[in-house]
Amino acid sequence: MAAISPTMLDVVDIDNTIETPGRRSELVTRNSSYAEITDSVCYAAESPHPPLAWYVAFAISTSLTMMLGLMVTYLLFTGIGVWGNNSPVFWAWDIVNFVFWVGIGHAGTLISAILFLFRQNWRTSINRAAEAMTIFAVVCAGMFPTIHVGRIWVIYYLIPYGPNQHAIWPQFRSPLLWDVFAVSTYATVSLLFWYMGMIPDLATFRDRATTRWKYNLYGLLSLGWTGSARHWHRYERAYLLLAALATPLVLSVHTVVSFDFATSQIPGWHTTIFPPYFVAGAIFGGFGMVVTLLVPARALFGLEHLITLRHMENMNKVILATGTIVGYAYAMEFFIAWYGGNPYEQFAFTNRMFGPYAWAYWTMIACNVISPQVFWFKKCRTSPLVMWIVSIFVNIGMWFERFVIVVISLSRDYLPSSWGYYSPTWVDILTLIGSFGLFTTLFLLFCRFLPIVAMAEVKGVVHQHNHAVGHHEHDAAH
Amino acid sequence: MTSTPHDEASPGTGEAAVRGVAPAADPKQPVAYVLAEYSTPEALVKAARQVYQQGYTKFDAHSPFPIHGIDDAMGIKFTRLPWFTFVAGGLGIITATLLIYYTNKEWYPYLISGKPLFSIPSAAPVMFELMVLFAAITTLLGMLALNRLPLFTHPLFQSTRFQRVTNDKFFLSIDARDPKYKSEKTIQLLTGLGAEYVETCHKEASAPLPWAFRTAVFLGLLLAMVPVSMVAWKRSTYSREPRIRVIFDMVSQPKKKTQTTSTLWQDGRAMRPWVEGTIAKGELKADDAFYRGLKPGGLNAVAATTVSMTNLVANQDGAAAAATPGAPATPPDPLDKLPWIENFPLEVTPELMKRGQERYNIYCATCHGLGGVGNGLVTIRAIELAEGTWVPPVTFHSEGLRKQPIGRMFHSISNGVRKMPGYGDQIPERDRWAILLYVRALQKSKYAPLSDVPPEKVNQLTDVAP
Repeated sequence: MAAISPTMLDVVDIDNTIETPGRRSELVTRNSSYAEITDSVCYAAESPHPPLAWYVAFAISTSLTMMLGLMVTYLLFTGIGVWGNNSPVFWAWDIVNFVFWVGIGHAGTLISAILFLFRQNWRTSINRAAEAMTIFAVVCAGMFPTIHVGRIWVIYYLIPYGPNQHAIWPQFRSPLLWDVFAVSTYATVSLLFWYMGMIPDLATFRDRATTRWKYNLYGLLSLGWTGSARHWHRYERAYLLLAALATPLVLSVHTVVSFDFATSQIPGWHTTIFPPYFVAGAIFGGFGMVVTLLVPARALFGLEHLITLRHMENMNKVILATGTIVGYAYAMEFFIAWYGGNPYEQFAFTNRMFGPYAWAYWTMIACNVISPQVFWFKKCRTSPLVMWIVSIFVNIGMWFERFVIVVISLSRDYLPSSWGYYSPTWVDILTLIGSFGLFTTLFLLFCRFLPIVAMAEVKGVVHQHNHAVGHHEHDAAH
Repeated sequence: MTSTPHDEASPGTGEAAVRGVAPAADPKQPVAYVLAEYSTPEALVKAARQVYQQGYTKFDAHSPFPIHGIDDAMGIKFTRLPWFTFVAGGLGIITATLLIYYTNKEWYPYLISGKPLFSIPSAAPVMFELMVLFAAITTLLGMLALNRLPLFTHPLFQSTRFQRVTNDKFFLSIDARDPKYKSEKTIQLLTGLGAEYVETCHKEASAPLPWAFRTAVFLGLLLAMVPVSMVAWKRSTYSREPRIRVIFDMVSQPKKKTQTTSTLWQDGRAMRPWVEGTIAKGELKADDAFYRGLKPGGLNAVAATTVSMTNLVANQDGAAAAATPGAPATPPDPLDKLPWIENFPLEVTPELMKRGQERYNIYCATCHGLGGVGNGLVTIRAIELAEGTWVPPVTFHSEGLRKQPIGRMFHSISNGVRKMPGYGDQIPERDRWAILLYVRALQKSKYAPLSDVPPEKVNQLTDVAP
């Protein structure tokens, strides 16, 4: 049971992306035994020193997080005026960043809940990291509306709380209040889902603990898990129920976020396609972020045999599909603007393409619609370098999508006399960069201290898989 | 505490080998569990089925991942958990509905653009979210509760071999409290079922939490109560001291209050004296005569009637009825007792008269008629329709109206009289006075002697008797 260091293994990817008719390809390669799976997942947390790249990344991301702290402090002490928001663009980077980060979170819940309901066993290798990413993305997302209200110390006005001395209550007819409920429910349920899924793996960490501190800490977190069949029975049922609850939830969250826009009257926002379009975009962007994180993480911690090329390829297929859906949505917005015959709507879309923000629009099109098309080619789908670059393009493109929607529509609405051009301030820019630092810091800590891969689930599907493929004499016995 | 790496523990020695962190099992303690180890899930399922068929009830299988088919082999019944989720989801919907209904419709109704205060479509997102939230939390907590978790210690954790239950080994445990449990026989049964290894786990010598840990937790909880109690104390008591403010909001701002001193001005007063040609905030309509038609102090008289100026209008219906011949006598009009002014509170000029004529023709003549006898177009049409609800306007040339104080008439224009609505919101005060000036002129015209007419205009009169 000695911990295996990745240097002991050959790091060449075993290609399990080849389809052989009549035979399922392997979910995890290298004929991993149960113990081998445990050892390789625990390695990241148990090795006395993580790889140098981890330290470098951690140093950079914590510095960025501290910068974020400074920016937020400066904002709160001075006021929202330190941002570029002003008439007519009152919603600017704060809301762009919020929608962007909430969208990132969606891939995690999609992988863990929807693919679970669809019995997609390949999800087991990537769902833990994706769920963690969801939590951290929602943390970043929640920060932006919180600080953009300016007086953060009265943020509790947003929730209907008990001892209400003001005798005033939140306006439930406002989409912005729907958001409060949607995002906070989403954060809570994602956290529960993530934590519940981790309980058996935390028990593994407990049982492998080498110090009293670790034993007590992981023992406390794993709640005394003994792997009892009676416990597993209820646990599996609970997991299924949570997946069934999280599936409509993940679709509802971005739908509600899109309602913030769609229920307004701004040309370019008042569109019925927004809910599906936002959800598709969120899944697209979220999968982009999962690939961005997992390509280095699997190499860094020697998990290529668990998070195989086939997993990455599948995610790239999802990126290709959702990217094309997003492209369709862009086209459909134009079609409806023309077909609807509303001159303001028509102007809004012409202005997107050829107005002062055309650079942002075309960046979005290039990143979101054109760049994923390389995934039609299998060579690109299975090349870590290509997928990593494309996934970063996808992240950039999705950020610009939100920028295009929020800023361009607001900067030129009905009255030409109230048009304006929005530019961010240095505080805006550093806050956005800092939020990436916060996200990366949390993810790096997760890689170091919690199970990156859902060991128990992978073992379960490997067992089923071997059962289905190899053990014919066993089938005959039944 | 010395740490013993797990891979140094020698498996298969048969002792309850001590992991660096778990207390040693005390062989003197009675047996709590018999534990059998298997290498494959299939072997475990087979053994579990046998044990179940032997009639054991308090036994359990332990595995690193859920094994499908073992529920049937062990006779595990389907869990009640989905019902918990279902009920919690329903409660979530009900909670959201009541929350929205009461806060928005009952406690703080706030009408926006005529939208309904409570409607299902706008409440649906919150109802859905709370349903999911309640159901999800209940599912997790319900699962833990049904599983009797969290558990901080368990006799099985004393077994070194059992550490691999979360890694790659499969175990079957039989509780010593099982009615069918017989020490030797049970061990033999498990050995016979292909177990790779069988051992007994003993009841734990109770190992209380370390003294320092308990004290720290206790002190921590006690300290955590301090800020809460301080806040609660401050909120429930009165104090002469200013309130503690962590964050200085707009409530507290640098400003001077009344009767304080200031170094900003030479006279050292924070309150500034009245500046000529200005009106202090809130004193714009202090002029009773101009704005209300009352003599100075008139508002006090209004206050003494305990009826507000606008409410007095209602009483005039009764007064009007009294004016019609044959109607029973009604109580006197309370407006009569108020100190109305008799003279115009502003300078009377030909321009004002002109303005009054113009405004009168715009606002009043439609009902009252150009001559003020009550034969305006609206009146004529209403009488033609004979709907029965029309109260014809009185003529301005009656004895009563000619002698009525000008302030009282001003009040009638401003607040209405009988069926006539108040025009105070539509006609500015100055225009109201102008109209009254013109009305006075109309009244005068009916009863003017010929000597009042300038001699050069007498020829223009058509109906003067020669």
